[in-house]
Amino acid sequence: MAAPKVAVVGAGVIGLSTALCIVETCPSCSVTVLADQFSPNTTSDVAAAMLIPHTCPGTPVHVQKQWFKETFTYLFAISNSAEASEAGIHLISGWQVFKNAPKEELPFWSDVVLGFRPMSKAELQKFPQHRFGQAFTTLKCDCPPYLLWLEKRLKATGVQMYTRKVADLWDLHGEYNVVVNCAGIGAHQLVGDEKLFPVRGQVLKVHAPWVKNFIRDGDGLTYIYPGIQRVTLGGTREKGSWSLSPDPGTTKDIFDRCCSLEPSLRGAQDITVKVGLRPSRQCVRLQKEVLRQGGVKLPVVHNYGHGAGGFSIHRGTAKEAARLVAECIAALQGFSSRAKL
Amino acid sequence: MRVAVIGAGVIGLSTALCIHEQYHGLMPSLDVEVYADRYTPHTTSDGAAGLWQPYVSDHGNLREILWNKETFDYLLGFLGSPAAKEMGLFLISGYNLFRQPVPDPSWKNIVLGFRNLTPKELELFPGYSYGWFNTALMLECQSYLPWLTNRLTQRGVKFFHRKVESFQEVFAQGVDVVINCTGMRAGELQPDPELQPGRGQIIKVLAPWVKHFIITHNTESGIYNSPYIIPGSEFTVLGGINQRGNWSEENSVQDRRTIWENCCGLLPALHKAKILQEWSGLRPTRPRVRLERETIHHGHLQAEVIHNYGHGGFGITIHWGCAMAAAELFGSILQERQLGGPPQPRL
Repeated sequence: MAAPKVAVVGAGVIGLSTALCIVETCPSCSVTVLADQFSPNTTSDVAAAMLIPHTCPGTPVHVQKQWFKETFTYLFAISNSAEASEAGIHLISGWQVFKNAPKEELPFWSDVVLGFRPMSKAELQKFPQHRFGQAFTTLKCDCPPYLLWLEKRLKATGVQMYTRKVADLWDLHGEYNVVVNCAGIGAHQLVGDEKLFPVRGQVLKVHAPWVKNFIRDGDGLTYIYPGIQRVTLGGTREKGSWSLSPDPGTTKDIFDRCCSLEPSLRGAQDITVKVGLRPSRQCVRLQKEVLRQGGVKLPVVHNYGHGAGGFSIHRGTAKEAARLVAECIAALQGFSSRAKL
Repeated sequence: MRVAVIGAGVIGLSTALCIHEQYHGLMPSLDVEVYADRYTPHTTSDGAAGLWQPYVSDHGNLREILWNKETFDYLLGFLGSPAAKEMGLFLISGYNLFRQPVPDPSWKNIVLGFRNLTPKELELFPGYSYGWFNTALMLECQSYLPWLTNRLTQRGVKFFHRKVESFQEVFAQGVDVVINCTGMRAGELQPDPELQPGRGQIIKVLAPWVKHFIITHNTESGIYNSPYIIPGSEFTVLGGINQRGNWSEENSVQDRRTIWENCCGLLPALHKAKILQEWSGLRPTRPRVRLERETIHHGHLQAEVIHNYGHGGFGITIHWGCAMAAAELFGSILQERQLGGPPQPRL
């Protein structure tokens, strides 16, 4: 088979990183990215993109840890290179604080991040409403820079990117040999996955450049994540809400909660409000499927449903998806060589 | 009672405030004035990055260790308050890097979360095999000095823009006590061979992705003569120059190259940082801080000087402890003149 043609649907962090992994593992492939939204209008652009994993109940812990470790290692190397500022990857230290004792003293990722340890009494004094805490150093992927950097890497390898709303994966069967579905929350409509649901998150992006450490409440609802130019203040987890409109009452609530963790935020300037719909699922859908219509087959690799933890595992799932794509191509090539007999 | 504070860097302004806060209530006739030929943003303090961190090996000077701690605790108390932003005060974490194991510093329990670096963290810094991580404070003088100035102005303290040529000149005008916070140029008022410049040069860049301070140490070249990177609220300071005996306040092309190459070696992404400005200043270096009383005879009268200078590269770090010690000395002067009543406990 001459240069297998692979279409990646979706241009958020999952689509772009998956496209890049496919290019890396299959240099002979011709990869095209199709999406109705590109940075800065993807769900990924709203996310603070901190490398702190969320547990997916449907995926074995050792797999989640493997994905996280691969992602962390990959980004750690970039953060240490001359490309760090362009890629938007930087180290950040801070605290995760708990009002009540955390379920696990040592989360599965504690030995992947840097310097993980319990907070000292002196450190906890800064958070009078919280009784326990964990201190560590992790990585953050600022978006749009990270997505734009991925796009630049892709273009440099000859990958084409088109704005196109794909209504049905089958529509691509004539032009492409394999389709990779990284449509995120779009998969709900695109493939009719009823198990995929939005968890609405509203965040504020503010100018507060003196905030150098992250602070996260262990309940996952209140967090302060300093990025390169802006600090992301969050947030909400509204299961089942499809609304992309910012809610002013929520804005005030987020701001107040964050100010109670970090009072100096009262002086924050240039507050902008963003909303994203976390593409949530019991577990990431990372699997092959073969679509068939009238004797014609279209292999599909699904890679969506990363919920709140997309950035933390993106590289790991992208690599797995690229392996699945390679399997699809091998199967097609086996089939086509059999067909020649 | 007229008190003249000479010098308007972090030492002068904080000492003036401390004295006024402690004694003006007891003694409404206390009149504090500040005299200086340089005010913010043109003082030595303004050029400092603002990181609270004592030298890594002290000479066992217990008074100085205590003053550092008093300063840290005092500043920490302001952190949650609305004043913090106006003061230029915020928490910052970061790395101290060494080429061989070193003993823990005297300040390890003063800062927050002090620990040794893990092997994985050391991978970030090739050439360094040992190090510390901790959370400390930044106090940016471009904000702190104006904040102190506002507090002083509200209290009715007057400022004079003038170069004082001698203690006598000030006493002749009727000042009773002089607080000598003249930093590097104390030798012009009274020769002090122990006071030497520790010339520093820095490059200010825009590198907002850098969230940690990184300070390297080289036991042979001496403190702050090894690259350091300190991110502030508006720009990041690159430095690593400390030249004993060099009085030049001119930026040196050679030093700029040294700083740039060494800091980019530490953090390759700095190559992309936009350079804003360069600055040179003189750390008022002394084997120990001069913080003591001196009685000066002028005519048939005796006048008092309280010296508070020689804070080297740790002025911000130690300033409030010294201000309180100077205020205590001032209290004894009042006591002796039977104007202040019994000595007040330290607030």
